[in-house]
Amino acid sequence: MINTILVTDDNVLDNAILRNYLYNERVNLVSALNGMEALELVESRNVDLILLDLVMPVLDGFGFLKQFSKTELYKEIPIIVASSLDDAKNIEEILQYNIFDYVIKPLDHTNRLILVNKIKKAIEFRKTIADLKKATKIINKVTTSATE
Amino acid sequence: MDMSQYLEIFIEETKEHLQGLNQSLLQLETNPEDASMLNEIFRVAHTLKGMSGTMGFSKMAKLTHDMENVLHALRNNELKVCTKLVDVLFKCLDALENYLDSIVNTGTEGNNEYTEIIQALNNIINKKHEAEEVPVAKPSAKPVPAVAEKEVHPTSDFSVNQYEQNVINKAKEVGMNALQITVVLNKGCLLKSARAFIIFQTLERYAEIIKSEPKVQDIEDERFDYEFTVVVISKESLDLFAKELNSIAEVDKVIIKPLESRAVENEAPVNVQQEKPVQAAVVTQHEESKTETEETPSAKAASTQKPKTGKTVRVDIDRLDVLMNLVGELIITKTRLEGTDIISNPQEYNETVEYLERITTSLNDAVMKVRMVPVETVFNRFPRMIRDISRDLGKEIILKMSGEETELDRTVIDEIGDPLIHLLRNSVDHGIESLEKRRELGKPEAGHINLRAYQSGNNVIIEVEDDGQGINTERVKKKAIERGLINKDVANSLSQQDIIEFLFKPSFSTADKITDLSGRGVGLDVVKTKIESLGGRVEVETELGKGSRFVIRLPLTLAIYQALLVLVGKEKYAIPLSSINQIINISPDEIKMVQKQEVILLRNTVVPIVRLANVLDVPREDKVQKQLTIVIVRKGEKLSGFMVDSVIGQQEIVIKSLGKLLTGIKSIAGATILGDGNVALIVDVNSLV
Repeated sequence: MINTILVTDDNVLDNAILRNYLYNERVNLVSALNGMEALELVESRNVDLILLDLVMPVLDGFGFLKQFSKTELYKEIPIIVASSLDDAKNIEEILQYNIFDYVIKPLDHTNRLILVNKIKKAIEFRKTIADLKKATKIINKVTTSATE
Repeated sequence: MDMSQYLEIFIEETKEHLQGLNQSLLQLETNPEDASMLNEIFRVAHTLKGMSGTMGFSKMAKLTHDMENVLHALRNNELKVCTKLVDVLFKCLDALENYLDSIVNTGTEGNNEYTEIIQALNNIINKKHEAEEVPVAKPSAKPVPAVAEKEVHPTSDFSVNQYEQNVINKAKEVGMNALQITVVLNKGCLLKSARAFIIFQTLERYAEIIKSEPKVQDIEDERFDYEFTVVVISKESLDLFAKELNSIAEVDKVIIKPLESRAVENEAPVNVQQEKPVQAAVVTQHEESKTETEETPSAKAASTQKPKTGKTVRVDIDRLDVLMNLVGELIITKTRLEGTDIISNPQEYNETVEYLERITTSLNDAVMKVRMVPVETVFNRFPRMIRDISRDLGKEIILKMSGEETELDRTVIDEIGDPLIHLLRNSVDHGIESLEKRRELGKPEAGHINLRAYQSGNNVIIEVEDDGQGINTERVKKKAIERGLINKDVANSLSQQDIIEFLFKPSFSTADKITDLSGRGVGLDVVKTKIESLGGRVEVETELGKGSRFVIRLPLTLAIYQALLVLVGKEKYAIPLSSINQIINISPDEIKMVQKQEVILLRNTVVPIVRLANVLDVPREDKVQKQLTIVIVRKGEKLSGFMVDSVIGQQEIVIKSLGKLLTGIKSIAGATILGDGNVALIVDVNSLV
């Protein structure tokens, strides 16, 4: 099963580097250059994880989160924010959303490896949740039919 | 981790961003209130910081970081845009460009820390803090907006209740505008709420939103048809909102009308009584709105301009499709040829070959088009340059550019920048008079320079025109006589055009007292040589006191051109036809020796002879020729005769570079593959004359 990661970043350099780091993982990278594109892509593609930059043209990361948090998908898709904004005010604002993790750019080699690990964990997490949901459904079905 | 593989992306991206920043900064300077431009600049600076951090260029990152701080302060209205500040920011860009150059050349960012720039940036920030300590009388009277939204009464029609009317009245008292803005979104808009969110964000940058219909919550939850109306209070004008909102994508229409302050009985005790005057107000406002709506479309046309950033390789997909089609036809023709028997069916064979010829011609055109780049890429940097020079010289100059979309071959584009800079500099420096002089002459204080590009036939024409003092031909003539280029009698018979030609003489421009002349002449020969090496021409038109115009004509492409094939010894060489003046046959005894240089006399002009066999080190054949073939070539004003063994003929050749191993070889400009598969070297006329 190939997982799809939506990389939302207007910085093509970071995009290219990340692509290389994830080369050996079974992932498919979809790039959005701003929040608006991301909103469109997240609806149309089967996204398993969102990697989000904050400072972007058109619709920035904050705006994206605000909009995205209203959708059903928000509850399902883990989000990792990767931004060079490192002041408390911004981070606090972001942490109000249900995000999986926050990494501060620029990333060096070690931190990129850690990010890749986080990405893997986040996708696993999403799978586990999905499986759990499925299992609960089945259990519910079984128990209701049993009680009948 | 090896980052070098990303260096190319980094360099390309950074170049683009810096170019964009230069343009945005210029626009910000002329329009300091433009918050969207400021945001754009901030964002790009931020991206630059991120990228240089990623690549480990810490000095660049530091500089962009400090730059970002200043921009941040600007964005928060803690600072105001002024020329001094913009100057510092421009210096930052220059420093970043230097870093980039160093990265391109050496792979490292170098050692320069640009402490003085960083210091200047920090000074700006510190001043901001000082300013904060002494509270400047800020435009007071904030119209208590946060509370307003909560108190909006649920009304289905759009109307302003008493509370809001009070807010509007107050705003009017302190000189702010109250505007009712209706935004209609495109019917195809998929993410209405997100779009609305962007619109609200834009509005909030300039204004306080005091009312929204449907309510903000409903809009966020997408419970609205494609339009909504808000009432805002702002210091900004109606035009700004029209411009800003129209630049947002998927916005179909923006209707803005100012709301008037209206007498509302402030302490009216009973609710029922209030409604009447408010209703009346609404009716009159609707009438006003009609006149306003008509204004918006024109504002829209003028607005939606944002600096475009070009990608490294940008080929119109249509052009690739054309190429693809042609290649398809090529393959079909190949199969057709395979199936044709030359002997039994010579006619079909000939037809196919003819068809093949047509395809190759079309292919040639199509590929040529792919190589075309808009001159915009060169023009882009001129506004900034003109700004800097004119500031240095204390002149006011308006640069108008047109035809930036005109396309030229990549090879020409790369070469044309310097000559154009030269001409523009000349215009600013020598063409446009000083402020005082312009005032005296009754000319508008700001000098105008027009830079135009357009295509005409197989040429692209670039014009640099100024409304300065023009060229004083009398003084040029005097100078030419002084320098012994002509004698007095000849001088008087020369036409104005002939006199202007002197400006392009190398000896003229290298003269020490050129700046004493009425201007012009500085390095114009360099411009001319460069343009001619590109196969182009330079012309000048001038009128004393009115201005001058330099016209550059360039061929559309350089990759394919006509050449003369010649034989030197047993080797074939190609000489570009554009630089050939004529071909003559002489007998050996016509060659004379002057100052150890072989020359011939050609219609009373002394032409030096270059024996190509010697220069190119071709094995000599010991036979005495009774007649020598001389190809006369021209470089700028200079003539020179290339001695060859024989002339083969004219041919269209495709230039190939010699490759990395053979760079820096003088006298050879490249190579071409001939019809028989042999390689012929192309003689570099410029280096031999």
